[in-house]
Amino acid sequence: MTLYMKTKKFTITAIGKHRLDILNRISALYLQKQIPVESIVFEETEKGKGKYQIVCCTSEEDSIKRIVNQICNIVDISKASYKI
Amino acid sequence: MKKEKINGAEALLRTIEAEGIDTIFGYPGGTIIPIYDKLYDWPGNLKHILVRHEQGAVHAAEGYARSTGKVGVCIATAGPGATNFITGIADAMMDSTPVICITAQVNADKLGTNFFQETDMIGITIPITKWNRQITSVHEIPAVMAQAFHIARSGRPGPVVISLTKNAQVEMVEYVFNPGKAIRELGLRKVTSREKRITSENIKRATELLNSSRKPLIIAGQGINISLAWKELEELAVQGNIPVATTLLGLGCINSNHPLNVGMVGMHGNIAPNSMTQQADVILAVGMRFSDRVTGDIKGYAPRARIIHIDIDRSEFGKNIKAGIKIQADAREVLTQLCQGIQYRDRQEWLDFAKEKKELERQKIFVPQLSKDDGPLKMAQVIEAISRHAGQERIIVSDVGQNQMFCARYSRFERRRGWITSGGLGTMGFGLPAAVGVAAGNPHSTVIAVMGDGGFQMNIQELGTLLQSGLTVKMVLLNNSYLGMVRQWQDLFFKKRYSATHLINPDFQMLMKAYHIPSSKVATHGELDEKIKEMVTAKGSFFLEAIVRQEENVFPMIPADRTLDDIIYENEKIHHHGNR
Repeated sequence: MTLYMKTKKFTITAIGKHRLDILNRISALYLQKQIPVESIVFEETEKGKGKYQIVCCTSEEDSIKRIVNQICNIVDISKASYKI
Repeated sequence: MKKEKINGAEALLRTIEAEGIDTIFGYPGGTIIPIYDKLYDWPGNLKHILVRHEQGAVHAAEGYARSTGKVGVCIATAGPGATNFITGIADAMMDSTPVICITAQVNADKLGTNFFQETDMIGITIPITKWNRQITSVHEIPAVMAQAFHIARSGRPGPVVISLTKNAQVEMVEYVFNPGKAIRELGLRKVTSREKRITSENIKRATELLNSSRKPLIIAGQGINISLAWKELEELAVQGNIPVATTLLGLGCINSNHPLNVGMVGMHGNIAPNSMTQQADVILAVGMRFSDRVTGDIKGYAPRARIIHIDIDRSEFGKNIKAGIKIQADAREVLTQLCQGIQYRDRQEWLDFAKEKKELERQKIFVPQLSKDDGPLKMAQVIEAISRHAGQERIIVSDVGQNQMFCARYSRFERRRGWITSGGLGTMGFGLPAAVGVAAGNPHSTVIAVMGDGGFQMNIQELGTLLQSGLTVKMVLLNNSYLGMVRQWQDLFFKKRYSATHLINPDFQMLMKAYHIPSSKVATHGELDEKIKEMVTAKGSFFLEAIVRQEENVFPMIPADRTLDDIIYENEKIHHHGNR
């Protein structure tokens, strides 16, 4: 049934330390939930600080909320949010 | 004055000691020799327990951590030594156990060259750690270790992996340990007022909901043990006259003998708390995560209840069950505030309901399970006898499977931190090494490891650790020559097709002789009490093998994917459920 449900595009933005392992931690959350990622951007905003932006399509907004909560739990992340 | 220079291995051990740790568990190997070299004549109080397999070291660290409230520390060499940690790390992650797993790594300049025993522990452990870091320079050791300790034990505790390159172990440094500065440098996110969900408003709403409730139920989990909220939990229950159920890991956070304790929820939980969940109008869930083993089919879970969920981890809210009131905070802090507004209500009818269900369970399950008949021993009888003879300072460590469920159901939990088991991951082989860690951290308690013959053999090599360390663990083997829980599922859901669950076992008594561990065997009711007493009073470790009936099932049971209303009490009824 999920296949026929309308998917939406979600953009999740997280701010934290600029470290590659954080990117791995974030992508692992998508992998675990089998949510396909359209794009993932990882950039240094100022010295030592990084911005992570992930775009994905899914019909499960609850899953996205859970992912945002889990991203917030990553020790080196200071902020995470999503928009549709 | 010039500061003293020490090498990285010494800096590491000094930092561990400065964090209040007195015992570490580990196994040496080529890449970690510099640390073992320092341990050889370590002048401080830090003891090292040599395990026989690295998995055992993590479980021992878990047992040490859960029973003492400190952080457990284990060390292993690079490559296979490090990867042998994985099961233990995953176990600690699932059960929110603060452990620091230090694995050696090849020299920093050799990283990425497939050097002998090089394994990317950072990449491997990302999904199963709270935090991990590779240390490639000696200068990082004190600060990163301070951060590791802080992260492992703060908030929702969890495992931290530190991958320490060999050059960092041997390089020299002027040792400065300033944990406060190191933790500040972490720049941990401060909880904003919008996120901080413990507000006077939601405390007021939760208190009002509880005060107006006719049928409230508190479900207490591991979070009570972590936040040391035992007293506050009992106060809230008594002040409000509210029954308390616990999860598997929450067992013991309220005394088994307490009149408001209604038992354990979940798949093999007690009838009263499971039935009460379905009848309750308010559920106060504290430090528990509504695991599938607790809820059964979530669509039919607690249909009448408004749910108040207290958890320190915001990602737990709405993950499995949606709560009307979510309070993200330390359990102790919230319970203290709830105690201030809670009012006593009579609720006799509700408490009578609990009594009635308790009586139903007594008649249907406990009486037949504990009755003496001509057949072989039953697991329940052995566990019940341990509770009678082992004294109130006992700490029960179980393995996983039927032995664990019988322990949970038939033990009396009369002390805090008196129950150590593997919950979320369900790790067979946990029991023996975890008991070693518990014994190391609690030399004055009676540590009893209850295991099945399957799980015991998964980490049986840790008998060598007991032998060499001189630690005291009383081992009880419930030997039914089966992987009992898997066999039970094959019995109930797979038409008794016992595929690969029958075990042909070694002679465990001869094995104990080889390890110089005194042992005994019991197979009849008549000898049971005497044998348990012999085990408890024996000096040092002891092994008691109980030959129990082979095809025994744990009841009551709520089959997976059924609701808590679908409690089954015996084999006959279950066959209607087919293979679900």
